[in-house]
Amino acid sequence: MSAIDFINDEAMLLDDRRYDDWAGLFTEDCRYWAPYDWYASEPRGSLNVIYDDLNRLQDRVSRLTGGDLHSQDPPSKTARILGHATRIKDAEWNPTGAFDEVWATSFRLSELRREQITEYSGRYTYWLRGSGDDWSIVAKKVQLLGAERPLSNLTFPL
Amino acid sequence: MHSPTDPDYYLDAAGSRVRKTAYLDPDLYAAELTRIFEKTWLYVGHGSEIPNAGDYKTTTIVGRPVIVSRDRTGEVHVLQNRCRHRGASVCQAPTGNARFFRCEYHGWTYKNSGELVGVTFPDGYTDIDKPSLGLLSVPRVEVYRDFIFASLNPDAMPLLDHLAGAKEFIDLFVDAGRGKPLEADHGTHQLEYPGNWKLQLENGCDGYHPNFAHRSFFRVVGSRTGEDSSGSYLGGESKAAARSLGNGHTILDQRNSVGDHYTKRSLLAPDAEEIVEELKREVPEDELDDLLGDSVHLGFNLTVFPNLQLIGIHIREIVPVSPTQTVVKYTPMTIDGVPDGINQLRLRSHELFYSAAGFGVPDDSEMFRRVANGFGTDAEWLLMSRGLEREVTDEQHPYAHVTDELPQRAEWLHWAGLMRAGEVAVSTAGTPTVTESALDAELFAERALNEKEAVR
Repeated sequence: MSAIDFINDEAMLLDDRRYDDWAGLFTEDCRYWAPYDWYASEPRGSLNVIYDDLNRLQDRVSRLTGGDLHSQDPPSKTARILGHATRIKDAEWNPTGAFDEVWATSFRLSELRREQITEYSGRYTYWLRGSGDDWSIVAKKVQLLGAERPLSNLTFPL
Repeated sequence: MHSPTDPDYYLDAAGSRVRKTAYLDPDLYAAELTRIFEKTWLYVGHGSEIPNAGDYKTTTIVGRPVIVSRDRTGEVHVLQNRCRHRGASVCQAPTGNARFFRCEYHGWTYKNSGELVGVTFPDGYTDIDKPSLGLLSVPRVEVYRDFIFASLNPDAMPLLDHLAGAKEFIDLFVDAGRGKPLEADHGTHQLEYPGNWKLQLENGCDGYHPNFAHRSFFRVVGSRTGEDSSGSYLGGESKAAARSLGNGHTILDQRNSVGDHYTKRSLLAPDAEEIVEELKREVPEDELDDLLGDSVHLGFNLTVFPNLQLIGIHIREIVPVSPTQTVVKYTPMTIDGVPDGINQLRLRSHELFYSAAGFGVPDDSEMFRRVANGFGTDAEWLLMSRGLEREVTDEQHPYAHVTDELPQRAEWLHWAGLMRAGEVAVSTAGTPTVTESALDAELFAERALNEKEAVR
């Protein structure tokens, strides 16, 4: 399985709401980051929409699977389309965890909730550890177009 | 037939129940804008957003696009963003620095204090009256400890009188910097929900909802901190209080009951371990726990009627968009001159609860959505009576249990007072016979000028 296949599988896991399996893709030292400013150079000193380590990501999943998350009752259904993935050589920011390959792709995400469809788009960047058939996510960055405009409910994972 | 703008139709004398149409009626909403939002003081920004001469930010005040600018003397102006010539906006950026605002349509130029200083190709005009053609300015601007307030009402009471008992808590919020200034320089999250602005107003100091609406938040936090019931400081047994501070301002004060919960919560942030190790080298040990706790929350939620709330480490501005649409702006405040780690923890705790992807606010918005659904039923009243019989009213600031609906009643009663004061003569047809824009005087002057020019 190539890195590109792995990235596509990750998107399918999210659309299928297999959140425990999704969390299992991430490394112990992972980061899951959605900046507020598309051009943010790093997450720690910035305001973010999401900045998770593995604990916070697991808490996010625990809310999604725990039966008490009101903002996902009813749940969002999502369908995402990934663009052509590109291998990135020199990312401006890198996670502290060791990684082997960096890939980026544009995405389009449609969310259906309560008969209303909301469209999101942006760019995913993945810092992956592994090779061949064995990959894990050291960092996933989600640049959301318009993260600074009024948003409503991003409690489903991006 | 009731008047749709008569406040006493919508709630009872104690404010203990409210009709659903108070959240829906477009005529009532229009009257709220003229009688409340155009009459009282509104929070428009923080001084640190425009620290230097020439700095500005653009925002809105009661639907009007405005520029909040600092002139070369340091004075803050709130200017309507519209060239007086043919109507184009003169400033396009969300923030910036400019000595002049120039309309790019025909080149008219204004100082950052609003005066018209340049009319291009002036020989085409015989006697243009530049002093009367400056950018329309919001008539009242006052700043309290870097909180910039403006009023469209030239006769608004002094800001400090308006703030009443809220002043003490603004002081506490600012003094959490321990002498160092608060800064709004990381941006502003904006969240919207399909409901009336008063749902957010009521929610900011609602101590009854957290253990239910935020059940999953307290569950995941408690499982990390080891607390059995991490939301117990807002539970039925809590000693915390809800208070009315005058002029519709309210407070939830849980400082005496939250214990070390906030300090524990601060340590859940990504990178916290590394940050705390660094802080131990930079901060005296006996101050560290307080600093960590304060990076999450100061132990009170403040509502300054009608559009400002101070909760956690952020400034929250409520922006009514329509009777059933509201935008809420969340600006997390960092502290200039403290170790980076403190500010990082402040941002992390803010993101945890108040982002659109956070573990808190989306659940509030979901409740507002469900209330909107509920409005479709035949049930008329929303009950705000909790704790009415146990209010302690013989002190300057009436108080009750933290879970009581005293804040909501105080907000609604002040709402009714302002709405009553603005109630105008109503003709038999039920239409207002007097318009009541706060800008009447200015509009009248403009109209007179236009008429003078027409006569000529």
